[in-house]
Amino acid sequence: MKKIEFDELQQSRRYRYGYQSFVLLSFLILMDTFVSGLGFVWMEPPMNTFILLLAGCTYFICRCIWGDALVGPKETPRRVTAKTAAVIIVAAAAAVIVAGYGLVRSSYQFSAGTGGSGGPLTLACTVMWSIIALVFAVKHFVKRNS
Amino acid sequence: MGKNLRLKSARAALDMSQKEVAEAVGVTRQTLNAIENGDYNPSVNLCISICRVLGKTLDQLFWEDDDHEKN
Repeated sequence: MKKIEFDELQQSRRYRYGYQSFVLLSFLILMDTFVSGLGFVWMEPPMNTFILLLAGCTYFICRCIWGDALVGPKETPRRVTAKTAAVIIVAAAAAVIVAGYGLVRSSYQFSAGTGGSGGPLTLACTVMWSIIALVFAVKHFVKRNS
Repeated sequence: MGKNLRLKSARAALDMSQKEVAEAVGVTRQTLNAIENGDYNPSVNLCISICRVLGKTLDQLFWEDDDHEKN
């Protein structure tokens, strides 16, 4: 597998974003435990942990995109543009497909204890991919105009 | 940390863009821009690479004293 090389600023940023994601994830899990302890179950386990993990991953990816720490300096501009377009298309397509699948199955269930756990996870994935696609597109637009 | 105008002027003297210097050094243009603007403190290895590309010494580009006070 080809090793992706980042320069030192990108590496330091990635370490910082990773640390922030870890702190965010820890905070969310602690809050989830606290809220569950109070008797409010917003999602049945283990779906609550999955969704919190998705939130942490989304934060990390979006920060990397916004901080120019997603692709290394060795990548050619054409390849970066191709990758950007690919990520936007794949992310948007994944969001649409997952959302469509969820709508067809009518499985969006927000309340806990309704028996189905695929709906909330489907929705979370849709939101995650949509956010990534949006951040990628906005960053690309900002970069092009700067 | 102030802007590194000596780096910028050395680059301009060679008529090189940030992108060209960044490619020669092996970093992204954003990293070189951050160094010039004083937003990032590069490692010694990166400083040496930049000096080699621009044909200057570390003292000429990065040393801070009364004579070479950064703006």
